[in-house]
Amino acid sequence: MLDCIEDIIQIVTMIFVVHRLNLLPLLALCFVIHQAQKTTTVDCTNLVKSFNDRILLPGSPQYVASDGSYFAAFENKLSPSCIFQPQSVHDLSEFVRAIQDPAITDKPQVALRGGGHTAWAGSANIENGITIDLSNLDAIAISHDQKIASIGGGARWATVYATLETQNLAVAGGRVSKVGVGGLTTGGLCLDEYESVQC
Amino acid sequence: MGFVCDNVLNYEVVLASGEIVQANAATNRDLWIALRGGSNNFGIVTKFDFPTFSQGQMWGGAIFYSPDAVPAIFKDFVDFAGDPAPDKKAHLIAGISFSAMQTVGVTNIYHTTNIEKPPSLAPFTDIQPQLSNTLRSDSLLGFANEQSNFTTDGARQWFFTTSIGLNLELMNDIQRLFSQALDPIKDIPGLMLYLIFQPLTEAFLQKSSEMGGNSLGLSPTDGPVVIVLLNSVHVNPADDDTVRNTVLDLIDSIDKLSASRGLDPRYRFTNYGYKTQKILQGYGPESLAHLRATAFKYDPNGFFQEVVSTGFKISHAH
Repeated sequence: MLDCIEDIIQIVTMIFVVHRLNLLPLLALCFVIHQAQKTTTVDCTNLVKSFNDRILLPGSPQYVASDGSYFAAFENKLSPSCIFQPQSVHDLSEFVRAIQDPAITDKPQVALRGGGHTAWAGSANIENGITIDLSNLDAIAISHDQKIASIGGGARWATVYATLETQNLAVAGGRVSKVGVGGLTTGGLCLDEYESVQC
Repeated sequence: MGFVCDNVLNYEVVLASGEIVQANAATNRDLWIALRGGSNNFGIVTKFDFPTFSQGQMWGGAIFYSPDAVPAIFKDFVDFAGDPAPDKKAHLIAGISFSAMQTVGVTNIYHTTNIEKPPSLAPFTDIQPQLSNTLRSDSLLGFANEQSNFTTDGARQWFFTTSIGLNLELMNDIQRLFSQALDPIKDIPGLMLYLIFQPLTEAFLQKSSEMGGNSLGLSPTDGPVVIVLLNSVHVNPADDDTVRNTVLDLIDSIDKLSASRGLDPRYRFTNYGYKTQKILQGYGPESLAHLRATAFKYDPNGFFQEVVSTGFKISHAH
């Protein structure tokens, strides 16, 4: 809103000097434009109180690192009001409840990010909303009998394969190591199936 | 082993209520099935349990060919993908790569046992003229890292997709459409465009159908299905619209052509989809109905439709 007013003031000053125009209609236009824009900047300060360093704010090195780490430029370009990086599933559970608190009047829009490999803008990032970045939920545990690998929703295939390789093991997973486990697996398709066809 | 999603034994999921649940064959089974292809419409998956298997060194890599080799590549691709008794340890992706510097044919081949030049993949190693290859023994991680290095993070790059039936004449015609689409845009700075075919064979779909079920709406009788990937890269924001519209138009023309020949499966691979593409619709009405019902059950207030609005949403899949 302020940017719009500043721009208009500059233009209007020029015009006013020349034509002595009435300012009011132009200010009204600013107001209308501002209301029409759907972006709702989220006030993350309350979330910071509850979630501390798991909330990344614009300008912080952690925010810059996360927001700039997507596969495609189109996603890197988006800037959420803040980024939430859960350290545990319990963090995430608390957060999901917190942002639905009836006391919050402006409900945020939320993006969900795993590996961040989907290219189109808005697939796993969002302008002015909150992005949940699952990268810290990337633990890999192998069962005692070595038959099951439990993989965190924020892990990438690179870590999965590297971890399992030390035991000469593998799981059926993606063929591109920097892709995240979450999106690929919930999207259904394989990219590298052993004992079956690669797709 | 079917699709990656077919292998998931258990999901740990955070629901819209904040509740943490498990979804597997015995517990919340409808959610387990929905998550096999249903993307982020039901909850946030925080853990996947996969069965492990022994895997030593593999053999394979990427092969780059002169564009003159493309007809031979496509012919061998169709033979490979249509083989009624396929080598289940062999894997193939094939296509064409355009850049201002050169257009090349490309295959990525892998064999899960460490056999150099196995018979099922020998045709691809033999095709000439060949420019170079990275064929070798390597670990799964080594091959996956090679795949990662084919792209650069942060570029202006998109994926788009469609699917076709397996047919050589159609693939050759698609190559012509690809060249025609490129012609007016080939001087766009830094433009790269990849046309990649990935087969889902009948054997693969048969295996998938034996693994408990998923939401993809595919059955063995649908096979073979060929996933088509178009991957664009360019440099200048000013060219965004032109590149995107050219590729979407190309896909339109591919779809019209394949439909006219009865070679247009409805299935679309979610993870290659561009945002305006009708991806979830490709799962078919039966699966979509199940996905909607499951979403309503586990997320009655539509948190994963209205609040977590990113990704492909079933509420938009009409």
